[in-house]
Amino acid sequence: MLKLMRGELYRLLHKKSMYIYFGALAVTYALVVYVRSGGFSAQSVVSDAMNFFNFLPALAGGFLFAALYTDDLNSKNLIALVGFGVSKTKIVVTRFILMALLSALVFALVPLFHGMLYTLLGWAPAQVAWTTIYAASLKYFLMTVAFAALAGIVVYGLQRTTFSMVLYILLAFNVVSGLITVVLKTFAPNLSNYLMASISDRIMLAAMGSGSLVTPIVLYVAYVACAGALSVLAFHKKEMEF
Amino acid sequence: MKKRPVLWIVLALVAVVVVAGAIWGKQYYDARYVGADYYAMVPQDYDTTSHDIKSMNGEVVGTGVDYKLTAYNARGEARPVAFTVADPGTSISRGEEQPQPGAYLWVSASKQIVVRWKSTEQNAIPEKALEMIRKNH
Repeated sequence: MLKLMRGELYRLLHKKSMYIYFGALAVTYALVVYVRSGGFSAQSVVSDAMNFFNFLPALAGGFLFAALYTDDLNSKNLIALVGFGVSKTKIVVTRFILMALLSALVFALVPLFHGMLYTLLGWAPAQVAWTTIYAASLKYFLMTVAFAALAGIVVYGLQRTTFSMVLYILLAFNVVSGLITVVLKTFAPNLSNYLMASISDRIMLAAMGSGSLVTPIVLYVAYVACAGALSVLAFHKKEMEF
Repeated sequence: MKKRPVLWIVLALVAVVVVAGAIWGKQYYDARYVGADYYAMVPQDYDTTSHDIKSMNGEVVGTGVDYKLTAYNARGEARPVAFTVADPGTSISRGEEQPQPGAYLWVSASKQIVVRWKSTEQNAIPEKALEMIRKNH
């Protein structure tokens, strides 16, 4: 599994489009912050972080998901791996770990970049603001990983890049959770507390010192473990298409 | 290899356009959306009769009151401010109460528009601004 991870990391780190994409994203964000800087107040560094991070599961997570999950389908790498005798469970777990690691890297660096931009413009975040910014980043990191795990079921079950990318984007832009929330509000309002947005919200609040961390963490792990198990099951059921 | 200089020229042009766009965008954003604090009072004899509010096409979209006031900043500098508050209960109402004659207002005004406004207390108004309001009403 380590060799597989090392190979995938090597491939990703030599993917020129990844550097161009994240570079363009960083430059665009820096320019938007600069343009808006005239209207900043003491609260802007936190409220803007909340607004900006909201887009990251789609903008950053979407790219990582495509690079890790759907590139394999396009290049027939998945077929090659199975052909070489690599276990399907190992493939699913490796992809998931890499997605979690790369997302963690992105969501650890983004608050630093955000804070650095505001500091350069004369609005350096206070200690409390840093805690809130990192708690928000943690929330969206958890959402990104969970969305990848959920969309992974489609990657392995259908082995169609378009379907899996569309599902990931719908999840990342909260279209799916929005629709489910509307339905749940009518039929079972209490169940909306068990949606990923609500679970990750509770983890964020706990990280900021309000509420318990245990229940939402257990729910989150259960969510991701179920999605992983379903991915393995779907992958085992699906014939490899040549 | 021959394509390289052309690529760099295109990239440099794109960079110049992006930076120029950002500078222009900042100037526009600051002029339009960055407000400074001003204070005003609705004069006692101000006409608060509702009238039709029209869209840019001339279509009537609702009714409300136009406020055209003179506002003052903390240094006592005056500027005209204008905004419209729709009648409560109409489809274009934002739930704001229409300030009545004698009401004090805090107005966040950019170079071009009134960004925000709200009713305020007399004691929340800086001394110089209050002095100018009293002098001119």
